[in-house]
Amino acid sequence: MQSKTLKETNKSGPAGQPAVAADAAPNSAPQGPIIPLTDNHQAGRRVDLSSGKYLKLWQGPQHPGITGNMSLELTVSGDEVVDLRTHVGYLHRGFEKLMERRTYIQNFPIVCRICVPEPDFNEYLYAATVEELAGIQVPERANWLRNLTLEMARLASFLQWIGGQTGAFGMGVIGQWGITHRDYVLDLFEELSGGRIYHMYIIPGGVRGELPEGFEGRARTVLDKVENLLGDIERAMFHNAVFKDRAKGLGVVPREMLDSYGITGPNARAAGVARDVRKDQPYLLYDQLDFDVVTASGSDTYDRAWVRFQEIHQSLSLIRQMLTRMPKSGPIHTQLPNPLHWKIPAGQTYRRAECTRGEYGYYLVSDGSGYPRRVYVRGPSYTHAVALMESMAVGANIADVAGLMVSFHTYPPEIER
Amino acid sequence: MNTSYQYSYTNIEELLDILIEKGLIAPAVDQQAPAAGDPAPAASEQASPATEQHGPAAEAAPPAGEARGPEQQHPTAIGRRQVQSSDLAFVTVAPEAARHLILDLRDRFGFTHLVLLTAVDYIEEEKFLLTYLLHNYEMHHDIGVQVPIGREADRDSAGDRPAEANPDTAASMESIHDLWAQAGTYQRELKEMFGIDFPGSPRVDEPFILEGWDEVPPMRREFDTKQYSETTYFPRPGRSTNDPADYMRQKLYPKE
Repeated sequence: MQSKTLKETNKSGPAGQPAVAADAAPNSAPQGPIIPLTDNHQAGRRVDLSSGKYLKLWQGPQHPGITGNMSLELTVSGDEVVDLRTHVGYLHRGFEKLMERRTYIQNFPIVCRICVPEPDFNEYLYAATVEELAGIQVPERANWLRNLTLEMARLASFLQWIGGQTGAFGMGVIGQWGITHRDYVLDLFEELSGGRIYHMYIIPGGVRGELPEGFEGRARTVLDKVENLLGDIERAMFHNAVFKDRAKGLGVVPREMLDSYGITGPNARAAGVARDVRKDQPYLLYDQLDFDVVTASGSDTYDRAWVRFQEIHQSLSLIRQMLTRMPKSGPIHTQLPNPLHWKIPAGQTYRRAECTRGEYGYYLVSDGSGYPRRVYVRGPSYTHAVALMESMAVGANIADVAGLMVSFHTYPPEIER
Repeated sequence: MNTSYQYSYTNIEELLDILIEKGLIAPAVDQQAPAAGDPAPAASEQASPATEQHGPAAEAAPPAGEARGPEQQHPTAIGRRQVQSSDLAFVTVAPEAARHLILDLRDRFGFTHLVLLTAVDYIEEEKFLLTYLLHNYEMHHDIGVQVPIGREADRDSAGDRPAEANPDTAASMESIHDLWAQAGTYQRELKEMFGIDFPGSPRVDEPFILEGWDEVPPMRREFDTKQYSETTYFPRPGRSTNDPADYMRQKLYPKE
């Protein structure tokens, strides 16, 4: 507790730090709204909005630099961010509550909406938890098809992320390329499942349909197109002086923050920690596929982008391997009981998968009735967009906030649920 | 084997035995009790070969005076242990023992990753079951620490603690925001969605998703989503409704 007056403190802020008023001394009554700062490292410090040194800005929910309908409440001093608070709840919310009032099969059209750009992880994990509690075995070919859709979803999601990451730094053209090629992947999904965004392809017991005639050839054409594009993106993005200048050294996540903030996925791998659920606790057929965990060491925005870029290459390779090695025929679905009378034995379980952003998990509790007692969705954005973002944005330039947020790759619906 | 932590173990059954040995979790409940109709073993028999823990430590007699019987196996029963699979187990502990156990699991056993913190509403028992799921990155094991707490609101809307609040039935739990930075967010959500209080947790009273909410916390089971939307939002007449269950019934059993 310091006893400097607000005026003094503002004049003599620590070097490189915005001037932040210490806890007001007992005799200096606040003149205007005093905002406690959110970041853990600044606990107990407050800013005085009436001092004229600070400005409150809302970035979002309608802002081109925001992924999805989220908003960041910024307190800025000049162009430097002093405080950031994440607000969610503008898009979808209440999924978990809805699921408690619906039968297990009725929940399938709901779960895929929890993450718009890659719904398949929700379908797979919900199906996997239900199957584990109900004791349902999935045919082998269905597992291959599930794995294929998960990797295709990863590819589509990363291609969309490229647009966000480059767009946030003013390179909109690369975003256009990425979105176009994402559409080619979505065309494949449309062929496969009938839906471009929400596929509802993975259902308990297996998958909903066979690969269409000639799918493999068309899929390989799309993969080649994407691979050509990646060469262009590497030159235009990663060798670009503007991108390097702005992304290098931005938002460095120290390694000791990884565990205390629950950071997973590319955000952790960019810090040099080889953690990947696909390798560590292989699900589906990842133990039979050939891939290495991509890591980097800088842990800044550039390295996180580089890890994701390498994982696009990895995803292309995995899809090709699966197309080659997949059994060409066989059952794709196990007969389920009548969905109207389908009761799942009481129990609880947790299953996880590695989505593009990190560990995605479903915690399912059944009480033996026809309705789930509780479904909890563990999305990686929950900690990346709230605790981590609120901490990392402090001290950043306001122009970098959008790029920093995209570099954590956050999707708000998995926070709201 | 994990080597960089004080205690090492090879599989999740051994971990539970060590936890009992160290007095971190209560010894097993009566192992004769599970019988027909008991929910937990029925689930794990079908789900995986792993069944209820019956390790050597389970031979130890349960403390005198503890009730026996299948109801002990309910998830909210303190001392319940469930090995769901080779890398996932759940243990139920008393609220006052939870923080100590979580801290030891983190610092001495290597469970450094807080995967999730959530609650399940067992309204028929007047209990919430808090679940702290911890992950060990060296062994790739998960353990769910489950804590039954009461359901009664601990503080009124003005933020004052009522004098008659009973610590046994109050929906209140010790905060772990100092152990993991993201725990504060989870606790803020639990405060809003379930009305569970975590005294001392940063910003715990700030709204997380809802604004100006003065109803029952919405994730509690007594909150009826359908009734709320029917009474709150303007009803639009002239809409026909199709109940999916009725529709399916007509499709499947047209004769009835």
